[in-house]
Amino acid sequence: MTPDRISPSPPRLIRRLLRFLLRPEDAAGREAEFEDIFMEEAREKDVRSARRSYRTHFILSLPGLLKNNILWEAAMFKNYLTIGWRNIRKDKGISFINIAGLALGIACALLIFFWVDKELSTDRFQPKSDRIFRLEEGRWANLQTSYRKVFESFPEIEKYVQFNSWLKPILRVGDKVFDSSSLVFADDTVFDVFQFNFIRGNPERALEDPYSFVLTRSEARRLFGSEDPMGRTIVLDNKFSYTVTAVVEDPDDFHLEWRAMAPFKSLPVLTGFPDFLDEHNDNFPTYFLLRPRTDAAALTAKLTRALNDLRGADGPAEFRLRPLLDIYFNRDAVVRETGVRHGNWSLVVLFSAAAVLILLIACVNFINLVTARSSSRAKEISVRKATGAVRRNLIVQFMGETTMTVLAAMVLAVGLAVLFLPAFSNLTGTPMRIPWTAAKWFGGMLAVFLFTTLVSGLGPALFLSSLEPVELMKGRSARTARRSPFRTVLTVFQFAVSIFLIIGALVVLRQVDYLKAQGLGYAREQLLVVPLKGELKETPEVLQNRLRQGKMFGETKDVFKRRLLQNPGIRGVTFIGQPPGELTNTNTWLVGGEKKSMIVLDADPDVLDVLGLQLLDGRNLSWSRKSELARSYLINEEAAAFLSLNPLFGQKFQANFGSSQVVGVVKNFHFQSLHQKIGPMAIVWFDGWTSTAMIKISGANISGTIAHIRNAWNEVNPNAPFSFSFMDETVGRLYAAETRLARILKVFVGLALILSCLGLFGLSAYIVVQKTKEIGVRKVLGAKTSEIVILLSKDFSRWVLLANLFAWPAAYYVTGKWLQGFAYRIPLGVGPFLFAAVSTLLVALLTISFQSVKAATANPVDSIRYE
Amino acid sequence: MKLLSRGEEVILLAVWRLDGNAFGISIRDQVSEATGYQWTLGAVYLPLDKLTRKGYVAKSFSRPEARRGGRSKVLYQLTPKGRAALRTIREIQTSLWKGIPGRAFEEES
Repeated sequence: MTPDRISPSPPRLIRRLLRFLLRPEDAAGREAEFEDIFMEEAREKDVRSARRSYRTHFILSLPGLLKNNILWEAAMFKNYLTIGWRNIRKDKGISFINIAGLALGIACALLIFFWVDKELSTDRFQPKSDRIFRLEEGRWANLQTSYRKVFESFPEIEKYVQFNSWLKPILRVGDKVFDSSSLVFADDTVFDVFQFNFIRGNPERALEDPYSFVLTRSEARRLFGSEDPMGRTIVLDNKFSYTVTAVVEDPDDFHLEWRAMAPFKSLPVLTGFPDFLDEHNDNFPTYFLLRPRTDAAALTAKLTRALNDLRGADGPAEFRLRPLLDIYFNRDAVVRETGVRHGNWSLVVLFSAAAVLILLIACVNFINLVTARSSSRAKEISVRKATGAVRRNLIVQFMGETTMTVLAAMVLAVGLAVLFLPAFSNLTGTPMRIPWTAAKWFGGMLAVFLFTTLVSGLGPALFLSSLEPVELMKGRSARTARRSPFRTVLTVFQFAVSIFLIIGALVVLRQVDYLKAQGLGYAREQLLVVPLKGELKETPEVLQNRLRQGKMFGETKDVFKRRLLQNPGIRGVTFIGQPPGELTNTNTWLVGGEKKSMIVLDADPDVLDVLGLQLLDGRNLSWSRKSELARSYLINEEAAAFLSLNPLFGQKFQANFGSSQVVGVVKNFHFQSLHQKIGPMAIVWFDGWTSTAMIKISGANISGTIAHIRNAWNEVNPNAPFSFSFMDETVGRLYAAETRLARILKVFVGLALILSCLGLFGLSAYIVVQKTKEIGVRKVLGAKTSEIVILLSKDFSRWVLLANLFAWPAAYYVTGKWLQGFAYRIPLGVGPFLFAAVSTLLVALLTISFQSVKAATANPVDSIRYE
Repeated sequence: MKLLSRGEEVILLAVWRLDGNAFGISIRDQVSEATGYQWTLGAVYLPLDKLTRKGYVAKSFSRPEARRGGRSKVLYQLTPKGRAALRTIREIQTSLWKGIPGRAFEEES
């Protein structure tokens, strides 16, 4: 080779890796041998192929090289273990903080990992999920039965299935009656489209017979206890006998909530409408299983044309195919859907972020404590270096120690996770089990383990191994240990996270309190909500017959109401369509040739009294004017503006039962949750689809009053189970998600604070030890105890205050974003911010004080003699 | 004496055959040729280091060579212990092979 030619060289990265893997004493020679092979090939062929085969050779050599490493390190490894174990024992307190802190963080991360995994896996277990779509019409996910014949004419649709989840007949098993809140009716194609785990029975024939009945495990237990449910009879609405044909596992990871299933084709008989499946009947979630390789967009266009032809006079609608996996996290996709469970994507993000943050805090503790201890390890490091250890040996040693600690923490963490699983399930409202045998569980554990080991081990290992023996001998390490900017940054980070979480929790708590205390515009105290069932809730058949006969009132309801009012504890009773807080029924009116739709509540003239609504203008509906039935409306202020009728009263418009008019205006009230702004709504006097009795009671002898209601119920309606709830509880449930979020945040705040303080406690202990002499000298020179405490607390206070600077903007942004999800919300004041700042500072000072006060009050003679 | 692994045995033989000119690359070429497949250097170093540790081979450094930028080669040589080990292996082999008729393999194939 001539000197003026630049010699070709092997890839640098690989060369460095190789050098790292070769044992120091042989490294030079062996590296040269690799290079020789490279050079030879470079001479014979070309540089590129030489570099390539150098890389391949390295990769193929890896097993041998690694094994060789282990072979040589084995002897040292025993030594590392001994030293590691001694170090753990030497500082029992610090080691405890290290292991316990890590264990807490890891346990928390593991639990959250399972929860997130469970959320994300909803519907994903469906083997045909990529071919399953839900058909949606405008803002509705519930469609008509009359569309069915159109679906059948499309070859692209391999199977379709419609569900009915609003018909809730009473179930009778033997002489016991049950609610059927989680019963759905479905086409027998349901098990071709969706897969459930059958414990008993056969998916192909489970719903074949029109009177078959499929139960989930939990429902089977509810209805039959420990008896075998197969082949048993369940009577629906005391008339129709169904036979149990299958039992499946509870579909916890399915977006539609169901615990019992009956055939769709039994609906005509059950409802009393022979042409139920062909007539115009709304409210059925509809799913398609498309043939493989179907173009969903093209199909949507074709379907839209065909369905709009069918709709004819109803006017065209917009149709959409939503992929199955797009349903669970899309709460806002459609306004109207029934029985669908939704995940909360922001909660998933929040949880994952919290898991990572808490794990990071725990890792930071570890890093801080290990590096702070570097001074005590300094002598060991110098001796090792002096006797020939290279940096690589030290990195291996310290990583090994970290691995040991993390492993110990893992074991503890798994114990903690098992211990806290029930509490955590409760907190999140998701029943969870640890999937001991699942690959995911090991994957999750391994991921958490590697993350923790690398994050908490690599920094200290690199730092400690970089210390120069000469400097260590000079005793410079003590200074570097104390003033390390690295550690300052980490501590500031920890407290920033804590402050951020505290602010978040406070804002959520305040908003939830605000929501609960907010004047709703109606009286929710001492108000009972009794869902109507059995005789009191007329089936479509009975209702239509009654209306055809001109009977505008259900007789049973009338008897029930009169019977109720005999009790002096009952102030008023009204039958309404839906309890306020969750009104969704919409009607469309023709006002001056214009279509206007708004929320409509079926009720009777007593509704103003019972709900305590305020009449602003006009008059109330009146029991004495039967002619007003179904044709007179009360509207709220919003609707008055929205309808722009002139004159407001007396002007006729077209509604459901023909020419109608407005008779009064009520003050706006929150008929939906406070997430939504109050919109236009109307109350109509109509005893049609009423589903709920609202009963106003007096505060005295509530249990007696409820007993009276129960008796009255049993007299008129003996075949249906009685249930009730208090309106204020029902209102509270509207904010269940927020209440849960607040509770979860509180736990996170607690964890983050505990972990941060654990770290601070250990760190302050070290710093106090290092300053022992300084403190002694200061005391001898006349410093007061308080001055020493201040001296020791100064640094930490500065860090905590600095953390506020980072946490505040982040918290301001995130909480502001969250509050925007509410139409009615608290202003974002400085209160939570100041509180978070002051409370973290106090907690930090308190933590440090354990150490600082001890150091400050110690006898200076002992301190100076120290070392 | 503890028996050597196959890999160690092959390497040890190669070192003996190369007689003073045994270093990473030459050993690799030798065993690759004998076994019929390419050995990596990593696969050579592992048994080689084991042999060194057990004292069957000894390391020495060659004179620095200009060709390799002044770096010296690490040369491996059999120690008396290594020579004894080879002899033992050979004895074990012969005594085990003795009495097996030559036709044994023919029938198999």
